[in-house]
Amino acid sequence: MIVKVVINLEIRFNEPALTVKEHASRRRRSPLWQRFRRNKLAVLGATIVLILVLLAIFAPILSPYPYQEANFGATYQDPSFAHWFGTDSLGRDMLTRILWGMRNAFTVGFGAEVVELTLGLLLGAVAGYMGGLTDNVLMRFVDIVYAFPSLLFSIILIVLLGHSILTILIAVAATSWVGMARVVRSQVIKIRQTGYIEAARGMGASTWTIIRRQVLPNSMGPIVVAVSFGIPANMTIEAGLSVLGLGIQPPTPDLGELIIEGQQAVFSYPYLLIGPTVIFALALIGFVFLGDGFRDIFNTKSKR
Amino acid sequence: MLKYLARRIFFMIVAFFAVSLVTFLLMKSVPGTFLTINMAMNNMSSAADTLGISDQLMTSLTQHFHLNSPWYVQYWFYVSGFLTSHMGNSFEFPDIPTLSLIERTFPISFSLAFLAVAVSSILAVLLGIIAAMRENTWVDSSTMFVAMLGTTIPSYLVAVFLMLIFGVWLHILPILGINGPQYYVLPVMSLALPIVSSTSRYMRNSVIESLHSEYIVTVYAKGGSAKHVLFGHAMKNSLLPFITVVGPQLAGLMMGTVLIESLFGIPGMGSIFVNAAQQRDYPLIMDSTLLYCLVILLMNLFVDLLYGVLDPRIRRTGYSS
Repeated sequence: MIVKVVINLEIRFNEPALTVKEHASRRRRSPLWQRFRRNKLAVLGATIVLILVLLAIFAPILSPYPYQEANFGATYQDPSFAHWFGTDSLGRDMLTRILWGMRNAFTVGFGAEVVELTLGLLLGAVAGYMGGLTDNVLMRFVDIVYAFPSLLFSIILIVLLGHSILTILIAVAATSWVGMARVVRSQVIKIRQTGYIEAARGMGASTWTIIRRQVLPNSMGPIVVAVSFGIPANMTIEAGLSVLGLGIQPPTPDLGELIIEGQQAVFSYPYLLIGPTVIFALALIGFVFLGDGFRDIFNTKSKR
Repeated sequence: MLKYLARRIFFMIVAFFAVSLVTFLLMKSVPGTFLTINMAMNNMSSAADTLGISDQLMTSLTQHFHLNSPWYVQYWFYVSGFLTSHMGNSFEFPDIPTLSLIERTFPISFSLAFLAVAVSSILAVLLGIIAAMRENTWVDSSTMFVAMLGTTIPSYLVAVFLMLIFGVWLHILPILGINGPQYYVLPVMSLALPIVSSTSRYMRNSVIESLHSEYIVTVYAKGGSAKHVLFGHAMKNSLLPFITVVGPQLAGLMMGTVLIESLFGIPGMGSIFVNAAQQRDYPLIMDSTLLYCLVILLMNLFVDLLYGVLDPRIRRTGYSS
């Protein structure tokens, strides 16, 4: 016993003393951020996503040409300094179209995720926390939405509501929120059984306060992971609808539409295909790296 | 077991009717009917000919499709028609029974999805086992890196890359239409590869977990070979978690065929549905959505029952959860 204490003391004393500055910096940095920074791929992913999002936001300023401007004197130009990704069948600059297409993809990707998050948090937290009949009814509802042929449902919604970016956003979110609701519910159920929830209830906190102040903040990890995998999934659906010709209508450029145009010209002008697909793939990969990094940080084994 | 099955089938019926009802109500609230749309875009489709018809025929057509009846009569007209496989004809293809249209296109879509499942399962199991056996070596990490890349690349992007490589640069595989076995290679690969990447990762993790468990040590102690350990014990126990991951992918795969069909110009159910939705072809929208829904529900049921086949514990204690 005594020996143990002595050894402990020794170990303490042998530790190099921290300078004041080091001490301060250790305190300031949260361990989450440090763990994130150590994961090289996650930082790479975050960088890719950040750059592409900035490019998309500033597309109106950055794009070298107006996206709808046709130039019949310069159709099917190979990539050059004037047109980094070449020009298409109407002489429109591909770089411009890709930038604007990304803008749509990100708008739908982030926007639909916000809708999903709101619905998922609300229903998932209520179902998980209340349990019993409420849980049963809500989860059967979620199961039924799960049984929907999701893409077909989105297509019918778009035919119903029209082809604007807002309706596409709604159509994408309408079927994918159930995944988020399931993640939130399973987290909430796990946390509900912990001691501190019991303590809060014992101290007289209302259900709503407990959900808001204890349950949700503590279930953030898997939710953040689900969000970072959900955004690229939404972008995929958005571009997929465009591949079917049901996305945002021309002349507004869209990545899916660019991919289809490239695919149709694949034998004669393969560069039309390479530009949009590589950029799109890069954006998606950025999100995967980021999501994987988050998964490591929060040390969750969430199913995608 | 029987109780579980009964409950599952009851849920399936409820889900089926919920899906059909929502689809029907949405479809009905879409502005514009088939006939008015065809009037606006004259001669867009073969059915535009019906506009030249007499008023008498028009009213009899309206009566046949119950277009003036209350919504629940119309709804039941479609659903009962689907369930008894007396679907009649659709607006768009008045001279082809919908059933024969589905008979012609559904096998193509289903075989695409089925082949994709088969190919991806075999590949994922193989890759997962290889990576697990060489845990923490370059084989493991490179396989898993590629798997991670594949998790978010959607099938249509994979399809486009495959077309570029095998169709345009190497000139060894056809990239359009469906006209023989070699036409299936690229569509099936592009459906399978994204699934392989996400599932092989789970296979690897579950094989590693089994390889590190105590009964494997026992098998080694009793003189079992590595082959014996892997195929006799570890793999069997790793397949259950694997199937829990593959299962939910099946529904997504059915949806994936819609996109792949349109990319490769394959005349399957997907292209029929997209066309029907754009043309407001009510009977065809209903029939194809219901068929997809039924397939997805049956696939999910099949996967759930498969858990019981693979894990005797689930079979014995009942499918409680």
